[in-house]
Amino acid sequence: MADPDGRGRRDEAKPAIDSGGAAASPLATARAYFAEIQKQDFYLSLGVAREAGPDEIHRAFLRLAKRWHPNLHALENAEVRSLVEEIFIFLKRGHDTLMDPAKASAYRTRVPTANPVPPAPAKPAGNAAAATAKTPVRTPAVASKAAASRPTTGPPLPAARAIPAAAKAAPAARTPPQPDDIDKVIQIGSDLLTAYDFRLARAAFERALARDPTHPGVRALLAVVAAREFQVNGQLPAAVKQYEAALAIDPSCGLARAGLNQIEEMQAAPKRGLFRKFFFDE
Amino acid sequence: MSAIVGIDLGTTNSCVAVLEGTEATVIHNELGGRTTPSVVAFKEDGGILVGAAAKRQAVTNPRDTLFAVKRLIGRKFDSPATAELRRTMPYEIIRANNGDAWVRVGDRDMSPPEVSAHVLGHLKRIAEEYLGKEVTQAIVTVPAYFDDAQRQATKDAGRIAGLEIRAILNEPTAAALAYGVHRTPTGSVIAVFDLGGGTFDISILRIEDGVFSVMATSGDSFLGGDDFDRMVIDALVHEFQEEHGVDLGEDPVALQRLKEASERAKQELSSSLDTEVHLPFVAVGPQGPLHLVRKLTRDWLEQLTRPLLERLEGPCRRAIGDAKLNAAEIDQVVLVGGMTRMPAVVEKTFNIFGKRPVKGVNPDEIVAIGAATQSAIMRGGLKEVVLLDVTSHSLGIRVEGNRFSALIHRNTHIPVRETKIFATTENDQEFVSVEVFQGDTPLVSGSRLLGQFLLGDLPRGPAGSVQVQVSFTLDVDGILCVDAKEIRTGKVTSKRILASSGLSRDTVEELSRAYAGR
Repeated sequence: MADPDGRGRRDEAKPAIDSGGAAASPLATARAYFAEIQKQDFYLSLGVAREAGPDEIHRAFLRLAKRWHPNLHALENAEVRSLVEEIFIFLKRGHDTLMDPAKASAYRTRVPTANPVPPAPAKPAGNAAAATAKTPVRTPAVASKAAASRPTTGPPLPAARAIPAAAKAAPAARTPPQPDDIDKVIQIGSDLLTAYDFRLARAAFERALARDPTHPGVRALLAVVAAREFQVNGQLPAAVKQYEAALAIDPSCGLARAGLNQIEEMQAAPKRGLFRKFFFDE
Repeated sequence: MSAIVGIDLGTTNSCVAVLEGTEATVIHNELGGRTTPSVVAFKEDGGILVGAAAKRQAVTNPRDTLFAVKRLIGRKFDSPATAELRRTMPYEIIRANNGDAWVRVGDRDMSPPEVSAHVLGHLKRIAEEYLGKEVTQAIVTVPAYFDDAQRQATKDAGRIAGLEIRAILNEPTAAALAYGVHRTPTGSVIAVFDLGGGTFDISILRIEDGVFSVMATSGDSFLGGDDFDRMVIDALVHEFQEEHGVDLGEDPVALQRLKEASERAKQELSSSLDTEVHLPFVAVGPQGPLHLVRKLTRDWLEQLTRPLLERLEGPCRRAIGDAKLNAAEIDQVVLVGGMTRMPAVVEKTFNIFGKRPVKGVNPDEIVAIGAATQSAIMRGGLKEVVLLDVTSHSLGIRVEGNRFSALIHRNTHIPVRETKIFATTENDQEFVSVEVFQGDTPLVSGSRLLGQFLLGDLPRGPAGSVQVQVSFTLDVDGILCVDAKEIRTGKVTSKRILASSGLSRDTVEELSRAYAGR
């Protein structure tokens, strides 16, 4: 991959890399490319527009696979090989996320292109805010990496040039989706919750609540967010309280019931030295 | 530029190919054969024979002639497969200290990779002879259904033989590459049905824009030509016992003769409707020497091996289902492996896929040709072509209640990394045992333990409060690396999975020096 403006090398730890524009070594090329795509969202890294359909996304991935599949670099040294493996895994994760409609929609909500991610809303239900402040909850690296490292200013990244002009002519599509349908917002929030992204889940539910302040389902889900935060931080009694509060608001809240069952299971008959599956992971 | 040879290390026969210009060529062995028996014999004077020479003397030296060692590679002594082999193999199979199945010849105990290294080393010399220069790099194929331990062990065999294994390639994928690279239109879906000497694989691939993408693979790592031979042998031993009261199974020499005759008869019945097994002086009874003379028909063979033929169907159906296709959407069926010459096997594939297999493929050579073709891709000599392969097994860890929690599901493209968060089960739990399993069942009892390690020094806290992020990275050769990270402290434990079995790196080095200096 060409890297004409050298921006990919900005983060280089080793200064030994030739920056004179001569043919770069395989290591320098791979490093520069990896640094570049890590700053991009999945659409940019695959070189497709946000509106791209599955066919286009898949083809773009195949094209990149013909450049970055580890087998094509099997004769390089170990450092290059492991870097190329990371590149391929990154591209493939992008492909797999965007090819799955549910994951893609959650991803688009989480990582909007144009506008920054909305700031974390401060007041969740009950006393969760205090807990959040004391013990910040980690979200999985995958979910937050792209959002955190997304550049907000600067010239377009090289892959951005691959985006068809048509995409740029549709700015509306690059703002975060704001579905009117409250059920859809709830669905997105629930997906985020399952992906441990409490901050954005809460944001989604609050957006829903702004539309319908008395919606019992949404109020219950906000309590579930708080409960889960307590749960991952090991504050099980507080989590139980929040789950129960959620059920008091909306007795049909499945996530709250599942959470309570899980805590009950956690507390009954533990075995030393083993894992339990955490959360609702399948 | 030193050559990279492509090696099909088979259960019964092996084949080596090399790229010449843009075409992959099969290299003839010292006797002019295009395949070489995967047989290694140890003579009393300390000499070692490999290939056709080893196979020829098997009758007179049955206990020290090792064949079909691929069936043992990466297996535990206690597995059912090993039990079956102990019953049927004339050589001795023992339990190594780490629980693996090894072989004993005289007073020497050897791991399967050491034995396979002799076959690989022999193929290396055949290639060197042909090319007139040293060969140090190879691409070796394995059955798609081989697991992590079996792949590791195959890599070890290469290292012992002085070969740097540049890639481990799945046999059906290699065959698809060799078949499809020049003659398949983009968008085609092909099924590769690979029934070899010891293993059965079925892979379904889509070929689009030069990318060979495996959609699903399945198989049976313990079903092959050897099992067909075994049924014939068992039937003839049984008949002989009924008729003469003599158990040929007790006599290794008679058994070896019977094995060779059975294999030949089975092969002949692929092209003719009947044949004869004729073994004079096979045993001595009370009335003097006994001969085994028996006419065999194709019908008889098909009736006899019906249970094996039936076992081919399940994996095919599963692969078709996993690929989310119906059989009619498969454009071509490619048959690989010597056993696919059996008419009943061809008939079976017709019943499953509803179409005749393609012609013009040599089932014994196409895998090695595919491996050599892959070297062209690596070298940049074959542009715009790449293989995207999958893992044939789901991988995960054991969680509470002996349940299996999968991180990587079968038929996921590799390389891949998947991460999941798990929590402790005890208050103030000090360590957690990360037990890595492969399988497709909800409980680990149906799965196979690949390895385990401890993550210690966990921070104190109530049950469920301490979380560990487990990450599985499966590389392009299908070899697994596991990381576990305690989330709050960031403490990381990383493990390439080979602990529970296999050879250590040092042992492999040592064996490699010993092999080079022998």
